[in-house]
Amino acid sequence: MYKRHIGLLVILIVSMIFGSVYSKPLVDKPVTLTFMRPDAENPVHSLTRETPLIWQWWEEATGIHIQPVDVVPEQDYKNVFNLKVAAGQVNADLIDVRSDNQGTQLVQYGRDGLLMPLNDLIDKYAPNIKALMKKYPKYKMDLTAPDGKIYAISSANASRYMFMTFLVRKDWLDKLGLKVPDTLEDFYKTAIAFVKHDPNGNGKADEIGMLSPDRLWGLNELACAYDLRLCTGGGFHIREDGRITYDFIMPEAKEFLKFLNKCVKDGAIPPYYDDPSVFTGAGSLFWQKIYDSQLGIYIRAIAPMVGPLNDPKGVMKKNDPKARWVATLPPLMPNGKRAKVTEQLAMRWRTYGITTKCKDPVAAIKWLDFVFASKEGREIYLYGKEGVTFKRNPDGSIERIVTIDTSKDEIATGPLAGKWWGSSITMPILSDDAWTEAQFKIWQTPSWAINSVKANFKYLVAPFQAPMLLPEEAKEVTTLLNDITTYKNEMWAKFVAGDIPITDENFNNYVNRIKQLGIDRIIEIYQKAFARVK
Amino acid sequence: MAYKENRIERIFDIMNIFVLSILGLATLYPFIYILSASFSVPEAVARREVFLYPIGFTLKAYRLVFRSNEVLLAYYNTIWYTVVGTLINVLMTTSAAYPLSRKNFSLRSIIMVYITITMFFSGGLIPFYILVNRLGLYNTRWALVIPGAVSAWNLMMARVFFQTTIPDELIDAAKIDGANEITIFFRIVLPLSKPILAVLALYYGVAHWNDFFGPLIFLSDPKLQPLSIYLRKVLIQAQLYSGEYSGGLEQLQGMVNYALVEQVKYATVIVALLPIMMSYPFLQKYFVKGVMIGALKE
Amino acid sequence: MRKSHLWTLIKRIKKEKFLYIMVLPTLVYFFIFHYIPMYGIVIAFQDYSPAGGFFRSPWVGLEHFRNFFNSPYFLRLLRNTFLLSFYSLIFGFPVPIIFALLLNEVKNTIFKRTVQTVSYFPHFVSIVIVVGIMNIFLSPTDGLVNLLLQRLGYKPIYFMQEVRWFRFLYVSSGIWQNFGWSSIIYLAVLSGISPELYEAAIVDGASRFQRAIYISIPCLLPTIILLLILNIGNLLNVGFEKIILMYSPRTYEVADVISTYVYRRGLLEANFSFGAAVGLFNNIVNFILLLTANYIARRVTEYSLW
Repeated sequence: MYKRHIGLLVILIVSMIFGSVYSKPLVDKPVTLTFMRPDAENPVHSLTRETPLIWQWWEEATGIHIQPVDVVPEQDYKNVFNLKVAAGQVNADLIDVRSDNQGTQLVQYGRDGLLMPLNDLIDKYAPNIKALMKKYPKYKMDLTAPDGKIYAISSANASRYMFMTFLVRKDWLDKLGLKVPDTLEDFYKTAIAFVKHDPNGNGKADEIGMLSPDRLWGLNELACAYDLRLCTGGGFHIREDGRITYDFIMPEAKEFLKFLNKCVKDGAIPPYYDDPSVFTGAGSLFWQKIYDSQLGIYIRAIAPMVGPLNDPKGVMKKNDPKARWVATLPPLMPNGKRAKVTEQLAMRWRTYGITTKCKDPVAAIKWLDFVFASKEGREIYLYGKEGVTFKRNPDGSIERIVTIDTSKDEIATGPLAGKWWGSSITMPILSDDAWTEAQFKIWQTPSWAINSVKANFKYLVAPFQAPMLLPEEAKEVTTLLNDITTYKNEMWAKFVAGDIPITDENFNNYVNRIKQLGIDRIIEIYQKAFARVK
Repeated sequence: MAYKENRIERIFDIMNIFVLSILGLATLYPFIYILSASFSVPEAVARREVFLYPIGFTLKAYRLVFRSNEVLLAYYNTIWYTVVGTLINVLMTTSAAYPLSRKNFSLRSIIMVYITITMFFSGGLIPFYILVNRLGLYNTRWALVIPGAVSAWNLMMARVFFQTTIPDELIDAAKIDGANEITIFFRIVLPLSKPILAVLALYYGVAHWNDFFGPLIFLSDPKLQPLSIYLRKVLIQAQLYSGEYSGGLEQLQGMVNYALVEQVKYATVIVALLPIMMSYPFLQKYFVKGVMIGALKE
Repeated sequence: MRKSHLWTLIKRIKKEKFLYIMVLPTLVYFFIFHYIPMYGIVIAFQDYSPAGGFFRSPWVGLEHFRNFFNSPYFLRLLRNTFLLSFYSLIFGFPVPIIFALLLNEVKNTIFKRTVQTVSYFPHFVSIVIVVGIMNIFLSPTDGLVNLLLQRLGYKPIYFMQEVRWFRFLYVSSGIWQNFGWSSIIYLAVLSGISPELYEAAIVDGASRFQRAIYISIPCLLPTIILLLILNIGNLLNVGFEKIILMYSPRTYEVADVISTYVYRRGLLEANFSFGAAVGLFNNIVNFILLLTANYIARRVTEYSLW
């Protein structure tokens, strides 16, 4: 008899120990919240049939059960979302909200009563989100509507590793006796060398100097050598003196255009850098060229890409064991400085909010706080459950005890793909340095690769993102911006390709036309929006 | 004097076969390509090496498509929607097209205008969606067969067919024998109209078979979802060029096994296509000449 | 006078009551599912927000239309849309007809059926794959056409980047994809022609060619005219998906159409109202084209929509 009592006692103690690894449940009694969202990216683990293990672990820790509703595939989510909102058919507590980059729809949804303002909820019940917003005021500002309310939170790119860089084949550099390119001219020379001297050693002149998967738009990333921010931020740039410039019409843009044109003419950039038949349709040739060791410089790669590309278990290494990819520094500017724009901290096109139909918003915000910003919640997301998927070493470091072979789980995405959580993006993620470093561990990234990325840290600058605009302002901006962007893209493509010579006259006409189309009015509106926030 | 075949016509016959063969091969080609690509090694497909026959051999893409036994339920649902939907479509379309094909039908013009306007002016998706839901059709099978019951375009084609092939004299003769219009329709008109019935069955049937948007917005119960939704789930479409606004995270996601993702696209086409192709010969015999033999013998 | 007209009308309707019974379900269907939702057209005149709905979104009148017409690209978009459709029609419309007539002349049923079935395949292939297949042939690096050109000593042609190739590629790939499927209705009509007509013509000494011109084509004529009118009524409907896969800024001047412009605008700001206004404009123009085509058809031939 005593044995049974002792047995129960042991179980009780053990479960108390395990239970106390996580904080107490966030709610007094179990709560179920419905969550309208897209389906898991890996269709085998569709949310309509399984609950990802990570969600189950979150539930254990918080006492809150999440019920996905209105689940559709990601690529259709935006359309179905708009439709259901329009038809008044949203019956969920939590919701994955889609909007445009400007966040205009977020503002509308708040105004029209779909989403609950979160300011007070965050203040009282979400200590981690509150701390995050204090640490990153820009994150808070980007998500604050003109009426001062925050209607949704987004994933946060707080990781310093989240910037776009240029990756180069170090092994090819070594073979040809070249240094890592440092100035724009170096990039040009290195690319030409790659094309001429057959670094992949197969006897065929099949190498490509520089290319970007984002086509011509991606190649514009190189303009950071002229302090032009042409990609992230849409070309807008807040200068030191506080004025906002549209970098596509700055005088330096002419020099950059001449550079690109030279690269295209001399073959540093292949002639199909913007050809739809290469980048769309039956499989992007770009990736195959990387894997077939035909590309030397990858323009506009997200810095953590050094992970998968140098992963000993990855496709790249399998195809070419000698391949070594490193990140370059931002090319040197004429004034001797360097600058690299990071990715946006807050992304407004996909956010997570609490609907006004939610009967228990306190539980909802607590759950969001837990999974998005709390230490334990994020640990579950990154590593899983202690004792099951990872163990804690005496020195505090975390070690995985289960590895997922991503090459087996065929369309695997994310570090703990498939059955562990079913989707990696469509949850609010706070990615910080530790997050990226954990991913590097999975990819077994060599330290020289990581260090090449880290060397960029001291040059990082924040990208341009205007605060959310009033609906009338947003309308005016997008009307003007669509025409300006169409004109700019067309002219830019023609300049680079050489269809139009880059003379002073032609360039000035181009600049004047853009001014005529109203670029200054857009800048004025942005300026006003920034002033409003202050 | 009766006409006899001559040499020019024989030459024409040969040229005809030649031209038609070329056209046939040109249209057969995508099928062969897709079939080959779906079985090839993914890297070969990505490198554009595959263009006629498979390079390497793998069933990976198909295994992915058939991985779960949801497929069987999906096939069943698709067949249900196609059969039931097409029956409703054909019945309603022909029963409306026939009266409109009679030149003396009283309100013929007004009704044609009434129908034509719907082809051009529409309130859009949102009111339609609200309406269907208010009618209680949300998440039922009927949502896929009733809101799309008649296509104005197909209706007009059927009407022209009846106009051309069913002469008024035939109808008048039957009326003299004492039949009413409905009996005439079912006993005389429809049996003589096998070609258009086949065409309508084909056009409507294929539309149902491939319809994924309707199920997407009207069916939330996965047990009701057809093959098109299942395949769309299996398929992670390549992004349309949207580099201007997606974040860097998408790059990381997209690069994993991109080639296989492309290949799955082809496997899904074959999976969706084969049943239709196999059922087509069944319909084809209705496109045979001579259906009218005996009809005009009065 | 009026009263007696009305009275005769009612008498006629009574006489044709069975016909009306037959047509009624369809009329009701159109009323419920097409006319009732038409109130949604107001979106084009509002600043629609999904959460605000039709009744709370602010009214802006013709603002979106003015917005669209004032764009410096308006005329270009209109021209490109119209031309792509027009060329597709001119070159594409006769193909299914000729194909059906040629097929009709084949005596061997197995060959006939096979070619017919095979001609449908491209219709079932999604546009993404169609463009993908085009790329296989046209790609500047590994495309078969360019490999051939290089073998023959020419420089590769960058088909998808050149303004001069775009329209040709767009139109011809469209024809290839659709001619088989579109020929079905013509084949159906041809098979409905009584063989006795042909037999009588043979007896009268008509050659095959003459039989085709004097019997087959006239029997096809009502269908041809119908489809021609309907296609003209669809002239401004150039979808964006195919063009997005094929175009790039260098080819905007011929490739950028109304739907792609609206699509890019939607990426900046998901503005339903703007899209709805442009759509309404499209529909009105299309409708006017249809009315014109119908009127001409009614005057010149005896076949028309009403």
